[in-house]
Amino acid sequence: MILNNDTGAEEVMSTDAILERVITVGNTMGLHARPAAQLAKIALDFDASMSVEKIDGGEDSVADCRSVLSLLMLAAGKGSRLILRVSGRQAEAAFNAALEFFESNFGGEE
Amino acid sequence: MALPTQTIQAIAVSPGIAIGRTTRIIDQSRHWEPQLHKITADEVDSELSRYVAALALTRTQLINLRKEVRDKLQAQDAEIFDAHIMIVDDHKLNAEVEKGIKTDHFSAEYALYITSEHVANVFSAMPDEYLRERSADIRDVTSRILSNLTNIQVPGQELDLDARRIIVAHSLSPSETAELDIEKVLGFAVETGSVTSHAAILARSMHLPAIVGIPPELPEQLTADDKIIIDGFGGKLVINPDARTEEAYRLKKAEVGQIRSRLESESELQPETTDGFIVQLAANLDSPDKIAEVKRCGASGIGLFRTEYLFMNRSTLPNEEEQFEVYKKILAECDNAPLIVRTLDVGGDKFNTNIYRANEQNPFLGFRGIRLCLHERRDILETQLRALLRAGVFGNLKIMLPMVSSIREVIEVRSIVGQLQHQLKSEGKEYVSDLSLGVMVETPAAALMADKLAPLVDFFSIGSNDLVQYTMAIDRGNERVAYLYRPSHPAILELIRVCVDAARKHNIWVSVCGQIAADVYMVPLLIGLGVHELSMTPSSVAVVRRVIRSMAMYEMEQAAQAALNCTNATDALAIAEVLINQRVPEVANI
Repeated sequence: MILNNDTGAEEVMSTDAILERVITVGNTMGLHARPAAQLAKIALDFDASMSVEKIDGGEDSVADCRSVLSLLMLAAGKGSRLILRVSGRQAEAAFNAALEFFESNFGGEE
Repeated sequence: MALPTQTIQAIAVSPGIAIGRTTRIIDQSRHWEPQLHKITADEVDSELSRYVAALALTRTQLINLRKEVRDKLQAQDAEIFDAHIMIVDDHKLNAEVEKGIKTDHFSAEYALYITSEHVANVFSAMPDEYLRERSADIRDVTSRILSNLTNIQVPGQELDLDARRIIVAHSLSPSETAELDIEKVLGFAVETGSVTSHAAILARSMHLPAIVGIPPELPEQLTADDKIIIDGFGGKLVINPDARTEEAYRLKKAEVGQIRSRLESESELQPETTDGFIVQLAANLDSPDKIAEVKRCGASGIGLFRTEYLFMNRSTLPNEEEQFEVYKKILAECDNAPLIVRTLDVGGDKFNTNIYRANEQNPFLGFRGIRLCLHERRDILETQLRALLRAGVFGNLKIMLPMVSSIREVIEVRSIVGQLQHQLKSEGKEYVSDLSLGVMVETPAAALMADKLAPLVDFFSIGSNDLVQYTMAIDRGNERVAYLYRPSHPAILELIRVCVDAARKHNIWVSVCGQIAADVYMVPLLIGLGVHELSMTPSSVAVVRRVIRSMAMYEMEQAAQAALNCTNATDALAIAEVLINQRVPEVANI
C-alpha cells in the first residue's frame, strides 16, 4: 500500500470498475471558472479518468474533468444535477477527492 | 500614399495633445481564416509536433506577458493571462485538435480554427455574461497560436520602433494593451470604447491623450507616411495637418506642459483660499507602490485607499497577518498624515472570482460592497477589520464602509468592531480603541439619511461616481446614456448639500473622493457647498490646488448657491465656468 501524498487516501487498485455518484451543485454561482479549474486540477492529479454528465443537459452534456473549457461548457448553475464518473488505476482516491470537493461546496468558495 | 488633410470629430477620453506618426494595431484574426487544408498520412507526425511547438511558444509568450503586465501595470490586469494560459493547456481543446489532425488529416491551423470556433460559439450563446465573454478569450488565444503556427507577426509586433508613435486601432484587447511599450506611445485613437474602456483608463493613468470613436476604416487607411494630431481636449483627430494647424497645436501642447510643470512646482504651497480658508487635498491610493507619487504631489494624506488590490490576482485570501503588515507599512509611510482605508468593495463592476461571482441581472444594484461583507462574506470583513484595528496603533488610521444604504449596516459594523476589540483585548494584542469610522455616501438613500447617519459616524466620504450613477439612474458603461452623466446636475448638488448640512449639524467632516473632486469646474461648487476635503488621483492635486488658491470662499459659496438654484446641469456648470475663467483661466484646458 502506498499512501497518496496529497489526500492521505489509500491508493486502491481498480482497473475496470466505474465509480458513480449523482451530485447536486450547491453553491450560488454554480460550476464557474474557479471551481472548474480546481476540479480539473484534481482530475489531473490522479491516474484516473473522470467525467461529469449534466442530467437533462442535452447535447454536449458530458465533460472531461481534465478540461476547464469542457466543464464550463456544461453551464452547470446552482441546483444542476451531475453524474460524476471515475475509473482507472487510482479511481477510488480520485473519486473521494472529487466528492470531498463537491460536498464542501467547491472548497468552501474561498 | 498619404491621406488628404482632414479633421475628424471623435470623443475625448483622456486630455492632452499628441502629434506624430502612427502605429496601427490591426486584429489579424478578423482578416484571416485558415482554409480547409488536408495533409497526407505521412505528414501527421510532423503536423502534430508543429502544433505542440506552437503551443509551447504561445505558453512562453503568455507567461512573459503576464510578468510584464504585473511589473508595468496593475497586478489585476495580469489576471486575464492566467485564463489565457489555462486555455492553451486545455485538455479537451488540444485533444480535439489532435483528433482533427490524426483522424481527419486537417492541417494544424484548420484543426485548431474549427475546434476553437466551435467552443467559442458555445460560449457566445451562454446566458451568463461572464461565460459569454470567455469566447473573446478563446479567440484571442487561438489567434495567438495561429500566428505562431504560421509565423505571421502577432499584433503589436509593429511597435518595436525607435520613435514614439500614436496608436491607432479598432479596439485594444487586454493582451494588445499589455504588449505596448508605453515609453514609446504618444497617445491613442481607437474606434470602439468609452470613457471607461480599457484603453481610456490606461491612457489616463499614463497621462497620455486618447480619443475614441474614430471611423472604422481609418486604421487600414493610415500609412507610415501619415502624420496625425490627437486632441484629447476637444476629441479631434487631424490627419496630415497644414503647417498653421500643426503650429497651433504645438503651441497649445507646449503651453499645457508649461502650466502643468509650473503647477507641480507649487506642491509645497497650502491649498488655501484667497480669504484664508484651508481645504484638505488628499490623494487616492490603489496600491502601496504608488505611495511615492502621493508624497511628491504634496497631498495632506490619503483620502481613499482601495483595498481591492490585496485580494486580486491570487487564489487564496490575504490573512490577517499579511493585511496587518501592508496597513502598518502604509501608515508608517504616511508619517501620521491621515490614511482612510475603504473596506473591501467587490461587486458591481469590481468582481472577484475568489470572493463572489454571482450571475446577477443587475450587479450594480446587487450584492456589492458592505452588503456582501455583512452577509455572505462576514469572515472577510472581520479579518480585514482585525488587521486594521491592530495596524491603527501605528498611525492616523480611519476606516470607511462602501455602499451603505441603511443605518442598520453601520450599527452592525459598529457591533462587529466592538466584538473584535474585545477579542483583541483578551488576546493581549494592541489595537485602536477609539476607531474613526466613516461611511461612503454613494447611494441617494445614504445622502438623504445623512442626518440620521451622522451621529453614528466620524465622517462622510462622498463617492461621486456611484452617487451620480445611482441618482441619475444611468449605467456608467452604457454609451447611449453617457450624456446624462452630469455631476453638476442640481439633483446631485442638492444631495451633497443635504449631506454637508447634516455633517455640519453633527460636527463631523465631509470628503469627496470620486472623479468630480479633480474636475476643475466642480471644485468651486464642492468647496462652496461646504465640503472639507477633496481626494483625487495624485496627478490632479497640483491643478486643484491652483484652483483653490485662486478664489475666495465667499465666491465659491455664491457660485454653489446659484448652481443649486439652476434648473439643469448645463446652467449650473456655466456658473462654475464663469468663475474659473475669471480667476484661473490657465487651468480651463489642461
